[in-house]
Amino acid sequence: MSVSIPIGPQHPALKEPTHLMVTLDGERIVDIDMRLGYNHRGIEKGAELRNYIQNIYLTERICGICNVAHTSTFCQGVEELLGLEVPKRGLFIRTLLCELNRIHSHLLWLGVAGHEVGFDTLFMYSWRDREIVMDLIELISGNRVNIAINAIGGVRRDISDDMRPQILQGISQLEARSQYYLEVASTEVTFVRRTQGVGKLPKEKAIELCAVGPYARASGVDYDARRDDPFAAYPYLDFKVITSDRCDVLGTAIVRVLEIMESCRMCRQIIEELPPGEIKAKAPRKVPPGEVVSKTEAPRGELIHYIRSNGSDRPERLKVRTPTLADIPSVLYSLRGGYIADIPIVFAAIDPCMACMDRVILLDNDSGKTKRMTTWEELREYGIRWYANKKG
Amino acid sequence: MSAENDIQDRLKGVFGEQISELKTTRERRVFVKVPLPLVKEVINYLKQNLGMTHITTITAIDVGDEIEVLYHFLCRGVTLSLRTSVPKANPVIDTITPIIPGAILYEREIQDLLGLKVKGHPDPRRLVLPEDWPEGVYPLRKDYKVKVEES
Amino acid sequence: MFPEIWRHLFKKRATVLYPFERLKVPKDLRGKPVFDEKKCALKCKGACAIDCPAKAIVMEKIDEKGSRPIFLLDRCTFCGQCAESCPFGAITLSEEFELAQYDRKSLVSKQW
Repeated sequence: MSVSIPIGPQHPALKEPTHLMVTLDGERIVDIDMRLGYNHRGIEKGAELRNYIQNIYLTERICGICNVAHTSTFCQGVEELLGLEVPKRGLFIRTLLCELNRIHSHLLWLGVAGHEVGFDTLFMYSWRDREIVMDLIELISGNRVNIAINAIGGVRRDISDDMRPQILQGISQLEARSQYYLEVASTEVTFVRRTQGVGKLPKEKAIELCAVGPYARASGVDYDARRDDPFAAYPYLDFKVITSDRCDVLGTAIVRVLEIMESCRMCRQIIEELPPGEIKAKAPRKVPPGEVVSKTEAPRGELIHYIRSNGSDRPERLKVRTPTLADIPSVLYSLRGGYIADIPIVFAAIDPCMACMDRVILLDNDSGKTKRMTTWEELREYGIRWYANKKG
Repeated sequence: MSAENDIQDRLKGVFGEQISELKTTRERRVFVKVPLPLVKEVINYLKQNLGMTHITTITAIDVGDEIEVLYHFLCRGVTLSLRTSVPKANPVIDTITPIIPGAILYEREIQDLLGLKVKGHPDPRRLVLPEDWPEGVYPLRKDYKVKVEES
Repeated sequence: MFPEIWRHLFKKRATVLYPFERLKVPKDLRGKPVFDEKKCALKCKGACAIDCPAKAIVMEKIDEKGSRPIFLLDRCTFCGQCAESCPFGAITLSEEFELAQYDRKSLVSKQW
């Protein structure tokens, strides 16, 4: 006999609001269905109402953790439409911040994964090491999380020579810590028992369902947009693409920790080889008509922005496809046949970043028949009236 | 530029005059335009013969009387964007999930936000909008005006 | 376990007892926007207000000469685009970040 239970949208095990309808047979999951859209904010429509400079900051707020990837992809696309050549020093600084953001995101994921399996010490340790990265980012860009370093034509701030010793020291500390996390991820018994063999996704299924990012690389799919579709300063750096053939959640943990170590090496190479020169090229405000497909590798996978311009200073259409959406069919496939207790960690294995959609509110009016959309003002007044009525 | 030229030549060789536009804007970016009835055949050809393994996303744009649909594929490291047009009066396209199962959520998204009917989709529910959103109102069309409020 | 305990026994406390102690913020932290009215040319039609992504700058007309900006700090995201867009360098971002108030009206910053 099978039982259906709903999980979410408010639930202590889920970090961001989603709704899962799980059909169970005992403890085994027979079928699972997912509902999205709890965070829909209408960003694609909002981008058509703002000019290109305001859109840099709008795209930055699509995601709090991979914000450099979003602004880099957008600025790269507009630069290609304008035919603008970004100076080399600007590209190097942009890449440095992309890699620091990747280290930040993977350390955050490690903490969340530790928390989902009940290993809170790992959560505390890795979030303490996040402070090292955030201090470096604050030194370079002026803010700990919302970096806003990209502008159309390059970057806005330069790295002075007295910042270098501090950056290099921070990177050395991170390398030592990530070596420690590699040992924890691969040998610590509690972590390994909870993640080994869980959430299996074979390689053929990962390719068929078009999974991206470290989640697909843990199943052996060898695609990384930094190597196969190079952008910014990646053609000048040498790095390895990490894959694993474990096909389970432990594979994703190992891939991410090894990627932290690769990113540290890349940051060191960037700081040592930073070329002199300008950091930004002057960009006109109006963009000639055209279209561009701009791709980068965000911390969670392949990110694409499609921009079409019509000759004015506002875009005609901006389409964003974030990597979490691409991984959802794969994660639903891998959950079937598993245990219900494994849902949080398997879901966390794709590093979900649902913050790409926001909800609109529909209220009945008094007759209860027609429905209309409300604004924030009306909702606030409704709330005040409701409480006044309740008090009597 | 050899991979891009190879793809262009082979597409031109097989489909010839039916392709209305074929251009390479820069390395690893190819744009192709085909009429609507030919879309599934071209996608099948890309999968069998040109090593297409991955669909990145499906974009749909409101351009007045028509809705342009772009499929972005990955063929041997080249991002190939396949473009087609559907009239707004009758916006119906066929699903491509039998060929590429990974396109399932992208088709739901354009059905939800732009009103494109995808015939034969295995799961035609709404993706992002709430269930009680009024039918026939499509936010990403140009005639949907956003009310901007000042606080 | 014991090497960990031994190591942590002699470490300095990591918490900073705010507000009695304060962390030193790095130079060029993006804080409150500061307006220099001597540099503002009054007649640029508000390049700062056009480019502000959060609509946090309102231009107030002085007379026929032009208008000057008023900053709405409750909407400001401290991105610094106003400082870049101003052709005369009249806006800079200071390092002041302790801006909390009890009332939304006290966050309207008219610096002239």
